[in-house]
Amino acid sequence: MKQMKKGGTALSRWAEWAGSNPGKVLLITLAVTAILSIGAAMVKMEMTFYSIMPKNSVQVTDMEKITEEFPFASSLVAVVDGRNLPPEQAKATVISVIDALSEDFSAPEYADAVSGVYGTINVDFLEEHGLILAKPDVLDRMTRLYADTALLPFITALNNDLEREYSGDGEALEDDEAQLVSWTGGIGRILGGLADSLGGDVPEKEEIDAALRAYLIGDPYYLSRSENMGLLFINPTYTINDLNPLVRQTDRIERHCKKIAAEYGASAGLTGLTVVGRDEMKTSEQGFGLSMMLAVVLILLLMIIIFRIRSTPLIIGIPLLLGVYWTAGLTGFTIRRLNILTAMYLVALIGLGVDYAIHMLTGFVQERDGGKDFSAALGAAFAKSGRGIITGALTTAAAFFALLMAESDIIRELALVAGMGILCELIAMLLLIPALLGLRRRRLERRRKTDPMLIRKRAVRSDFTAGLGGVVTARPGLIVIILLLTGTLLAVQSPNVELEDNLMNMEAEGLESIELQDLMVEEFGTAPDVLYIITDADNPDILPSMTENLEDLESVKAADAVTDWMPTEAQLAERRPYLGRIRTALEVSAEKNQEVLPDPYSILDELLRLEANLIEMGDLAVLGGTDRAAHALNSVTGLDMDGNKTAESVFDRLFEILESADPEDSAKALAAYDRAFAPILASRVRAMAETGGITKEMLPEIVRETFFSKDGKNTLVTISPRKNPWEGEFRSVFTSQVKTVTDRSTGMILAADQLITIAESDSKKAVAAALIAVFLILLADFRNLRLALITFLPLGLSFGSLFGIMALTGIKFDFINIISIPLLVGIGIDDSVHINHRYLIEGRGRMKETLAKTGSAVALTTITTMIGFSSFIPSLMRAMRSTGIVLTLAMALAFLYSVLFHPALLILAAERLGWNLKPRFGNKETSK
Amino acid sequence: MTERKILKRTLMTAAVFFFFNALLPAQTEVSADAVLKKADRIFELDNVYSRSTLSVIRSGRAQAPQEMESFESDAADGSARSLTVFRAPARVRGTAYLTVGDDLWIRFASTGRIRKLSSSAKKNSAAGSDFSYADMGDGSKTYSDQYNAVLDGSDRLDGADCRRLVLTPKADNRDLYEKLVVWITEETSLYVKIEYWENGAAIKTMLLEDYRPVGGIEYPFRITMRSLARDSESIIETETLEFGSSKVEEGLFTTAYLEDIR
Repeated sequence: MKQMKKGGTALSRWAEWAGSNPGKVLLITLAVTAILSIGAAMVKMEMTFYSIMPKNSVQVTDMEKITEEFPFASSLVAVVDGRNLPPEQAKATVISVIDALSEDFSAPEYADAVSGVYGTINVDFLEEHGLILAKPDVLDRMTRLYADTALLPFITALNNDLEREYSGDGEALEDDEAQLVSWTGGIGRILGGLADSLGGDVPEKEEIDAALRAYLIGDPYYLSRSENMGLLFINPTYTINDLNPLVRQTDRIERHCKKIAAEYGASAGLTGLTVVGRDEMKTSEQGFGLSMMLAVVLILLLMIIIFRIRSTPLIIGIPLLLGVYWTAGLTGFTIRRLNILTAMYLVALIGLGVDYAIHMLTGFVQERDGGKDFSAALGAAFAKSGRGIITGALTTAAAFFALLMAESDIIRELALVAGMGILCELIAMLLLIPALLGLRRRRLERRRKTDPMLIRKRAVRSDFTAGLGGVVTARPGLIVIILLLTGTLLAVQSPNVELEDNLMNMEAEGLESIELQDLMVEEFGTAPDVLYIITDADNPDILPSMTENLEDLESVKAADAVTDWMPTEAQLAERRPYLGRIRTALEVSAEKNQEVLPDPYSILDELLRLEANLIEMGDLAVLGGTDRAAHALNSVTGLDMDGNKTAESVFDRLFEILESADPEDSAKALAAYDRAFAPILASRVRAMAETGGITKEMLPEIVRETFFSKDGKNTLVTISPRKNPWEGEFRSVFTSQVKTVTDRSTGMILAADQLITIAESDSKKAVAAALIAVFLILLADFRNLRLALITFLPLGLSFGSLFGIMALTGIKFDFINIISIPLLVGIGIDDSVHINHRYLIEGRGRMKETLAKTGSAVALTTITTMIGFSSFIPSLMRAMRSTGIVLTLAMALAFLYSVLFHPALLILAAERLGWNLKPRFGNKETSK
Repeated sequence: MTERKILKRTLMTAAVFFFFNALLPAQTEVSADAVLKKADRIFELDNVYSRSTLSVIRSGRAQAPQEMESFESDAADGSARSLTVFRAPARVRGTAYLTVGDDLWIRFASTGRIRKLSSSAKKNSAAGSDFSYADMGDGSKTYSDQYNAVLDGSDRLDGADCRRLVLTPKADNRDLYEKLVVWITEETSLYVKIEYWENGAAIKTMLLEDYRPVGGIEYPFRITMRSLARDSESIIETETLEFGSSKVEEGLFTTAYLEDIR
C-alpha cells in the first residue's frame, strides 16, 4: 500500500501496487468470482427465437398462452415417408409404421415425454355423430341421398347429386382430393360386391360394411395425396418453454421414430413449432460453443505472436475469461437468462475485452523497451493508456446502457449484458493484468531468469501504422475527399438494404424440421405453421360465421373451430329437422324395401349414368392435374389418363351380367344384395344421424386437446394456409386476408413479424440513444465541441458505408443483426477516441507519431474485435452467420475511417484551419 | 419590396395553388379513364378465333398442356359469347366450354353429355388453371365498362414506362374483383400486368407479353397468370389469332352445337 501513496496518477499507483502485490489482488479476484458464481449458476440458456419474442405484443402473449394452454399446439408432427418404397407397398408400410409408433408412444416407457398420440381420426365419433356436424346445405343433399337406402333409389339419388348444378371449380376438386379418392374407393367396392352378388356369390355383409365405411367416413389415417406418406401427431408433456426436456425428450422421440421407420424400410422425421425450437436450441448452442472456442484460440494465438511472451495466454486469457464469467454471474443476478443475442454478445466480448489488455500490455512493453524497470513501466503504461482505456470502456458501456430505454425486452437485455460485460472486462483487466505481470516477474526472479521481454530482438512493430501516418500527413485533404466521397456514395445505396422477414431463412441450413414443413405443404396440402385465434369458451356462437368467412379467403385452406365438432345450440336447431327427415325416411324405406323387387333395367340405366358421372369427374381430375383422384376414378371406370379403355372395369362386369342374364334371375340376385346392403347403409346413416348435442366430454381426445385450453375457459380457432406461410409474398396475402375477418389472430408468423417490427423501430431509437450518450461522454472527456463532432464523422461514414455495402451485396438485415447495430456506436468510436487522446498528447504536426504509437494497438484491437465477431461466421444458424458478417464488416469499416479519415480530418481541422481542439476548460491533457 | 407587396404575392400564390389543387383530382380521373379506355381496345374486338395452349404448373410440376380452339363473338344484345374446345390432352379432346352472357355450359367429349355450370362459377378455376371462367373471356366487356379507374403512379416494367391504375367495381357485382391494379405502357397503351385483389390482398397476377400486331391491333400472345395464394402458375400461349374471323359462325354459340362437336 505504501507504493500507492507515492507520486503519479491513481491508475499508475494502482498498477505499481498490484504488480508488487499479486497475491492480494488474486484474493480480491477470487472473492468477487465466488460471489458471481452464485449468479452464474442461476443463468438459463434460452436459445430459441420464440424466447426473444416481444412480451408486450398481444400476438406474442396470445402465442405464449396457446403454447402453454392448448396441448395440441405443441405437438410434434412425425412425417412417415414411404416414397422410396414400391407404390403398391407404400401405403400399407406407412400405416404399419404409424400404428407401431402409436403403440410405442402410448406405452408407460414414454409417459414422461408423451401425453397423447394421434395417428388416425376418431372413426367411432364420426360414425355416431357424422351428420350433426354437417352444414345445412350438405344435410339437404343427404336428405335426398338417403331418402331410400335400397340400391336403386340410392344409386339414382347419387347420380342426381353428382349431376346437380355443377360448380366446375377445378381448385375445389384439388382441395377435396383425398376425400374424393376414399369416396371413389368405397363406390368401387360397393359395385364390386354387387357384381359378385349378381355373379352368384352370397353378399358379404362385412365387405359391404367396409365399403360403406370407406364411402361414408373415408380413410382414418392422415395420408398424403399420393398415399405414400403419413402423419402422426405426438403431444409432448413439455412445451417449447421447457428447455431441459425440449432437447432431451424431442431427441429421444425423434430417434425412436427414425428407428421404427427404418425397420419397416421407410423413413421418418419430426417437425412442428416445438421441434423447430429444439433445433434452434441445438444449432445456436453449437454455434455459441464453436464461436467461443474459435474466438479464444485465435485471439490468444494472436497475442502470443504479437507480444512474443509465452505466458500471454494466461496473462490475457485469465482476466478475459473471468470478465465473461463475471458478466454471466451478474446476468444471473439480474435477468437470469442468456438468449441468442446476449449469448452471442458474450462471445463478442472476448474480442472487445482483450482490447484493454492489448492497450495495457502494449504500453507496458513499450515502456520496458524504453528501458524502464518493471514497476516504473507498469506505472507509466497505466498512466499513459489507462485514462484512454477507461474513457473508451465507459463510452462503450454508456452507449450500451443507453439502449436500456428501448421498448423491447430483447434490446434491454442486450443493453444490460453488453454494458455489464464491458465493465466486467475493464475491471478484470485493471485488476489482473498488473497482478499477473507481477506474478510472472516473481516467477522469473525465483528461477533467476532474465525477462525474455528485455532481450527480444524485435519491439512491438509500428511500421505499418507509422507508414499510414506518413500517408495521412502528406495528403490529408485528398484522403478526406476520397473517403468522404466513397462513404457518401455507399450511403446513398443504404435505403436499398432489405429486411429478412422469413424467420425460417434465419435458421440453420438443411434442418429437417424446416424441410418437412415444405414437404407437408407439397404432399399433404397443409402447413404445420397455422394462425390461431383464442376465443371465449362461453361464447361459441361467434365461431361458425367466423370460420365461414375465413374459409372464403383464397389463401386459407381451412378454418377449424370447436363448433365443427360440437355444434352450438343454434346450429343444432338448424340441423335437427334435416336429421329428423333422414331418420323418418329411413324408417319408411326400411318397411317399403322389404316388398319391392329391384328392376334390373332401371339398375342398368342408373349404373350407366353413374359410369358417365365418374368418367366426367375423371376428365376434370385430369384437366385439373389432380392425378390421385384421376387414378382412383380411372380404376373404377377402366380408363387410362388419355381416356382410353385399358382394363375391364367393375361397370363392364355389371353391364355384361345385367345385359346377358335372365332379368328375373338378375332381379333376385339384386334383391339378395339389397337385403344385405340397404339395412347396413340405413343402419350406418341412422347412427350418423344422431340428433343429440355433443358435450366436451364426448369429444375425441385429439379434438379436446386441439380446441380447448387446459382450464376449459378458452377455445382455439385454427386457420390453415394454402402455402407455407413463411414465404414472404404468400405470408403477406395470408395475413392481410385474415386481417379482413379478424384482428385477433396470432401464430409464429405474426409473432415473428412483431419481433421484426419492434427490432427495427427499437434499433433506430437505440442507435439515437447510443449516439447521444456517446456524444455527451465525448464532450465531457474532450471538453471540446468541435473535437466531439469530428470524432463522430468516421462513425457516420462507417454506418453509411456498411448499409451501402449490404445493399449492394444483398446482405439483409434481420432481427438479430439489426439489434447488434447500436452496439457499433459504442465499439466503432473507440479507435477515434484513442487517436484523439494520443494526438492531444503528441500535439500538432505529430500525426505520424500519433499513429505510430496508437496505430498498432488500434489495429490490433480492431483485429481482435473482428475475430470476436467473425467467429460467428462458421455457425450453422444463418442468423448468427449474418450477424458475424455484418459486425465484422462494420468493424473493418470503422477501422478504415478511424485510421485514415479521422487523422486526416484532425490535421485539416487543427493544422490547416487552425481549430483549437484542446480542452476548453480544465487542463488534463495539453498539446505541445 | 414592401410588406404589403409580399403579403399580396403570397396570397396570390396560395390562391393559384389551391385553384390547381382543386382541379387536380378531376383531371386525374379523366386521365385515368382515358388511359384505361385506350388499353381496353383489345377487348373490343369481335368475331375472334384463336388457337392456344394452356400450361399449368402446380407445386413446381408441369401438367399436360391443354390445347384449345376458341371462338368469341358478341350477341345482338351485346352480351358476350365464347366457345372453347379442347384439342389436347387426349383425355379431353372435344370437351368444350360455352359461355353466353352469364350462362356457362360444359360438354364432355368422353360421355357426350352437356352440363350447365352454376351461375356462381364464373370466378371459379377454369380447367384447373389459375384463370377463372370470367378471366378466360367475358367477351367485349371491358375493364372501363366495369371498373372505375384512378391513376396511382408510374413504374418501369420490362423496360417500359407504365402508368399504374387502381380499378374498383362500378357496381356491386360478385363476379368482379374487389380491386384491380393494372400497369399500362405510357407510350403504346398496352396492358403489361394486372393484379387481382380479393379480401384485402392481391391473389393473382397476370402478365401480358409478346405483343404482336393482328389486324392493326397489338395483342398479347403470351399471358401468364400466377396465383399468389396457391403454388401454381398458368400460361396461355396463342399460336393463331384472327379478328373478324369467318370461322366464327353464329351457330357455334348454342348447346345444340355442343352436342355435335367431335
